[in-house]
Amino acid sequence: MKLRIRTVSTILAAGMLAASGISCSKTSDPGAQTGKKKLTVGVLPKLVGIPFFNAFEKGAMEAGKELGIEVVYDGPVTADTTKQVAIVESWIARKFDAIVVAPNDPEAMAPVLKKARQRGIRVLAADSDTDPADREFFVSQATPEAIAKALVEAMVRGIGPEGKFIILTGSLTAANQNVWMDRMEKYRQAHYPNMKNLSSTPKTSEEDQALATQVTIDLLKTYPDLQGLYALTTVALPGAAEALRKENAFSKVYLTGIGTPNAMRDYVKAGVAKEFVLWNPIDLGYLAVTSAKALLDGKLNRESTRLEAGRLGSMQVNDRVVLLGEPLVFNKDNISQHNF
Amino acid sequence: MLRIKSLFGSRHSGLLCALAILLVGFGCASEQFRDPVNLLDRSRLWIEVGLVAIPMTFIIAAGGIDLSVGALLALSAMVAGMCHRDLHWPLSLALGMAVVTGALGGAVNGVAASVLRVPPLVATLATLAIFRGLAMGISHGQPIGNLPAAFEEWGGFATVGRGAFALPQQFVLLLLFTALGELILRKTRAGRWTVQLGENELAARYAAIPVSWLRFGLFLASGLVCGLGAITYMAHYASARPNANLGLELEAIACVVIGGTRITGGSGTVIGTFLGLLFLGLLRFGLDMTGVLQQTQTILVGVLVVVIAIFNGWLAKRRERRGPIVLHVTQTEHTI
Repeated sequence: MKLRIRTVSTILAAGMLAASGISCSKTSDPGAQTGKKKLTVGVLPKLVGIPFFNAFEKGAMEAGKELGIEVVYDGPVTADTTKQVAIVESWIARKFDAIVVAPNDPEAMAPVLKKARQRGIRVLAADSDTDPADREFFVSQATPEAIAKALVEAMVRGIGPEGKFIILTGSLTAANQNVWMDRMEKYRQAHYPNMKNLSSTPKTSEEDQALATQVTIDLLKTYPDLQGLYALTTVALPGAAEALRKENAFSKVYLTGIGTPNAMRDYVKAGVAKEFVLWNPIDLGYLAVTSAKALLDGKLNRESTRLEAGRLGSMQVNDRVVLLGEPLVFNKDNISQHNF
Repeated sequence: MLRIKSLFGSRHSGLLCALAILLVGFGCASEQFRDPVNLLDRSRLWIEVGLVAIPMTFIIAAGGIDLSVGALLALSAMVAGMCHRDLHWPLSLALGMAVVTGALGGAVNGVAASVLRVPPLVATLATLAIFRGLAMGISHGQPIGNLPAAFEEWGGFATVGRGAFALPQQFVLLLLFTALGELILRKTRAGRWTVQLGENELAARYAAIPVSWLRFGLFLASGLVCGLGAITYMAHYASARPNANLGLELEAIACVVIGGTRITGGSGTVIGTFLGLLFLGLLRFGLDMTGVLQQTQTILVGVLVVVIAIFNGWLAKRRERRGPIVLHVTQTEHTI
């Protein structure tokens, strides 16, 4: 006769034994240490695995080491707000001391940031701002006005004050790019009213380099009289450059935008793109973590006007914004001095 | 004869075992994982996937698939958001529109799959693009926020019960819908027809099962649930967003497959899907709490999905061969 037992319970017990044998040895949670607790700062980029944020990470880690705090750098694999929210949720659970976020979509991040602050976690934004009500400080690469001016001037050097251009952005919800486009339009109207934007809504590349290439190839076909192209993300710019190289269109369409030297080096050497704009993302990551530490130490507060930021020196602080400085314009003369 | 009947039966033993390993393993490794407040809080993130995975179980069990769920959820949310912001409808009415939009979208899928006889994979691949395009188009890609504070409060903080048993409302909702789904699949004629249809469509037609109506109904239900998911999404993320839940369909399908539903149809349970959701959710939560980076997580999750799918297939085969897993005991012990 058979003894019929649903084996669930047996397997469960075996599983528990196996599991407890494997992993009951250590705890490595930052909040769980007893005695003098090391401060933990979480840094959340828009996404991981692109050169810009890799450089940002480098600076953040460097500052963490210098200041003797634990820096956890993690982000979604695609520029996805839902995943960003989940990561912040987990950092709340792990009781981090401060978090620095570069939100893909400020509005959707608002509730979880509110929750973080309710639980006593200090919140900063860097690279891309949240709603100012949701963070204590924003660590800004450069003012939007300065970036917009640098971009428009670079374009004018390429296509003249009456050229026709189009803008390629990341996603339509990206706060950074939206502010820059707004300031670029204002600057253009004030200084170069005869330049013409051929497409009232910007084209999108969703932080996807292959998509940026495809969209640019399509643009060349759709707008035969196109003279200039702005690519406003570090992913879109090399994508667009690849399209111009492939289609051999770079003598006809002048490309500029936001890019990293390493991704653009070959295109600049080949003359596909002559100039592009950026700040130093390593310094930005460094400044973000330094600001978080200063905030935790009480050295950075609402009244602050300057912040001593280690190797960067004294930084300007204004209306809860820590400013890194002026944007850099890269071209074939200075690109070899930068490696990120 | 000794018979210990488990709640779930041997069909889910593999998954339950995996869940136990996760709970014990991560429970030992992380203090934050053990904290029930954290664990329950986390369950708020599971609701959208969990909801759409229920009708997805039916559709897959019936031999179909619905790839348009993420896009339809985003579209429903955008329509509700625009009714509220632009037409100044009261929020409750606007949210009703989310459900209506979901139902309409589901009906479109249903008509394509049943009346026009387009294979569900193709039909919903097309509507995936159409719904996502509409969501982007009507909103010009911009999210809609400024929802009433009480609504956001409900999405982020509302619980049912008190103290240690304060379950997030999303989790309670999910439990209710799971129970309802399982009941329908097991105890109603529609549920039995669904499985029969997935097993053999021709036989189902000969057995006078209204195949077209059934298929239409399943896609309609899937759409309705997308509308409900749009509401929970808007509450939790304080906005309606046209690019919401990209890839939701894949996560839902993963839950269904891990849960032991046969991807080619003819067999499936909603409880299994729920356990699949718990597995993926707890796995991600545990990896988060032990500080495993997102890139590594993606790989680990992928590998485990394959392993469990293989294990499920093996279990199912074994079950077909010898019935439920049994312990053989020699004749001599039969003394009672």
